[in-house]
Amino acid sequence: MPTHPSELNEAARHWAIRVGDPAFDDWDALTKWLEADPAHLAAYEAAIDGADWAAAVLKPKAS
Amino acid sequence: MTGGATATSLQQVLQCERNRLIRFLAARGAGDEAEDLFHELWQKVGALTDRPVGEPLSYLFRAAENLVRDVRRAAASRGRRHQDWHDLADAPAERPHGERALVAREQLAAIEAALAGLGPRVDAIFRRYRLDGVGQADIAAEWGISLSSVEKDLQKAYRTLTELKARFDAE
Repeated sequence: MPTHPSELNEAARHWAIRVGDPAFDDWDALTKWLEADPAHLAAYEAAIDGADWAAAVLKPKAS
Repeated sequence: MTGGATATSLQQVLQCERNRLIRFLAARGAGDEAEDLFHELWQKVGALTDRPVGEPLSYLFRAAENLVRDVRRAAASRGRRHQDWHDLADAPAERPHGERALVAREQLAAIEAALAGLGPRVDAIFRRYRLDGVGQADIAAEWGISLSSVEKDLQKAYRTLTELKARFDAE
């Protein structure tokens, strides 16, 4: 269980990256991690947003 | 792609796995609206024309994840439009029409510079992963590096891009 914000952010990035993999198949574990602490969802979304934003800007036709 | 799940059989899987998907949607930020989103997912899946979708349950979770992202994006852009109306009312001196395009160019340049700053391998791996949709295992094979090296490179890219986006959002 991450306690320090940087550990939380790293864990959130880890999930954000894994979910981005077409082969990702660990959805129940992601659910449990998100449920474990309300701070997890915000960190997860922050991790997703930066990369999604960059991907959309780099490849505007993708979305 | 294996399988050949039709919309109907996908809906059957959706029905069987209803609780798991609703639990995921709730944890993913839908909260009390998880049931509504599940219903939207049901309709989306029902509208699919028959085509192979690989592992059905994984496909459905992926669709649920994408639905949450779409809903958030739509809410954020509604918020922005609302803000634009405010700005317009407060300051009738209108924004130049080309301003949005200028911001987009600035963002593109900043993202490219940030990725380039992380080195050619991180830059290439991020693009391969996010723009080409190639999985980490395939990228590791392409580069002849370990899976954990790919993950480390992606961590660097994701961290930098989150920080960069925060800077743009703060402007």
